[in-house]
Amino acid sequence: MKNKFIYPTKKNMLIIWFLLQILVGLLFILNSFSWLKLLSLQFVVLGIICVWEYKPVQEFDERELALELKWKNRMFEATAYCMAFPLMALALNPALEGWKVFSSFAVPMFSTMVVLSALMKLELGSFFYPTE
Amino acid sequence: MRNILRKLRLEQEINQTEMAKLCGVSRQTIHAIEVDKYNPSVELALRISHILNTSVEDIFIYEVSYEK
Repeated sequence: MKNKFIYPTKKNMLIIWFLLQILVGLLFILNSFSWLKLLSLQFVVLGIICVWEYKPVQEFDERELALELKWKNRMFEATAYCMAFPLMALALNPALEGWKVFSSFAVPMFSTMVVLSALMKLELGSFFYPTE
Repeated sequence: MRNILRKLRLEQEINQTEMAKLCGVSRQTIHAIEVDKYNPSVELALRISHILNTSVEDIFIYEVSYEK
């Protein structure tokens, strides 16, 4: 079976970045423009690029697998806490609107994933896949 | 545990990329082993010694430290 994985090469990352910029532009055409919104959307765009898997798990060597396991475990723990806090808040006060409580934790959850992914790639030794 | 992988590799004029290809690991892993950031598995250590035509003990030096 042909491998359909899109590797995060510099060229692929640039293509995705341009495509996401079009999406950001479309959002501004449909909604009003603000610098704060632009900044937050750029953060989301960079975050999406940041969490892009370096290569398929089958291609990892023993060291990369160990690092992947270590960082994915940290990521899982951190995001689990981001889910646990709104659940606790809802348990303490059921009158709260669930979607509001959960959506307030979306930003810290995504930020955690981005930061931990970046740290994982830093330890892996490469941010971009070297070959086309 | 320290190692003299870099020294032996350079003696045989093999660069990190070639070494990585021969071992079936990434170049970063070879670098991590050379700078003592990663201790390879027994299998990888044996593979490296086979490629460099030497014994594992000649590449990887285990320094015993007994705490009193």
